[in-house]
Amino acid sequence: MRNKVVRTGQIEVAKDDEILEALGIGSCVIVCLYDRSKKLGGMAHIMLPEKSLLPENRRHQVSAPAEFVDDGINNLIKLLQKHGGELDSFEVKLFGGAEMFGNIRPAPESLGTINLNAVKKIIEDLGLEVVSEDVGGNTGRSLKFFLSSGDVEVRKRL
Amino acid sequence: MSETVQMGNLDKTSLISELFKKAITESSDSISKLMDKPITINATESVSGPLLEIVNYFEPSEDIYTAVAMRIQNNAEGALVFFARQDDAVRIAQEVIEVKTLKSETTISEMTNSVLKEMANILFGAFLTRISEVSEIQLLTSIPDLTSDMVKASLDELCGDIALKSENALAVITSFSIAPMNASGKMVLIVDESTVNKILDKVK
Repeated sequence: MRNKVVRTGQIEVAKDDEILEALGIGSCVIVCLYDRSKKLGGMAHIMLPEKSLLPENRRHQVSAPAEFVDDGINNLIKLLQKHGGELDSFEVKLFGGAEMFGNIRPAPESLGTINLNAVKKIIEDLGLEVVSEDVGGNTGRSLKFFLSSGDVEVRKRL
Repeated sequence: MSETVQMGNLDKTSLISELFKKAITESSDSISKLMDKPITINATESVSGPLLEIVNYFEPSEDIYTAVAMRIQNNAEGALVFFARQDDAVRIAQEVIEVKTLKSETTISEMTNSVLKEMANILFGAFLTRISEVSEIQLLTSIPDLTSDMVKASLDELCGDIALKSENALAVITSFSIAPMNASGKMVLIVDESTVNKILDKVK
């Protein structure tokens, strides 16, 4: 059994008995895609909403694979397809998007909420179904994505 | 015309890190007097580059820390955060109000929450006043807010907010200890590239 930690802005793909892990998720959103028939899945650890929200002069900046919502989801799908995954088969699970400091920038303007809305819009546009989610709130999360079953374990403080 | 700081430029990064270190040392005196306990600044690290790299500089861990944060806004972009293990944060707050309870707090009480926010106001206020004096830039902040959670989860939102305005930033991380109480913590200052440029223009 092999664990891979997916850090902010990164994407990882795994299969069979491997585990993908993300620790200390606040306003970031984790998108997990799973092709059950192949026991193949991937995780994108997304930090920011769409690149189009940036000022014009920064939209072409070199960014990490999952720094932005749009790049993150598209790059994850491409990577999974490269490994034999099929778009129609992907189950979607979403996590994160918390509002850690509610007084500084409360919802609906909080970064977590903006990230989540951007992710959900792209998922809907792709015609994919979100089968489960644990999103929002004001606590951080840590996750383990078990590729053998597609289950995701979520840990939060009480 | 202002010169663009290459965030990897060690001379300039060192210059501003030193300035921030000096200001944080001076401002910690205000808390030291309040607690009547010496505060030792143990080490200062600085990291500069894309905000994403700054977030990933902090090792992901599930340990719970209390964080009190303020955003620097308007004519500058950044954030100031005070981190301490929850037990240490509670003991520091109790020391300030001279109240000792035998029962440890599993969640931060309203009283502790208020005391820690007020301490952050004093500490960060003194720090920003010092930086404003040197740079002649008025640094305005949000009201302080508190959370107890994993460090990385707390920083996500602050770094992300700054990343929407600027690609690069400088983070100065100062470790401190309060020896008589066996308590310790970190103060983290993050400012974006244009704020670094503005300050350097004035202090060069």
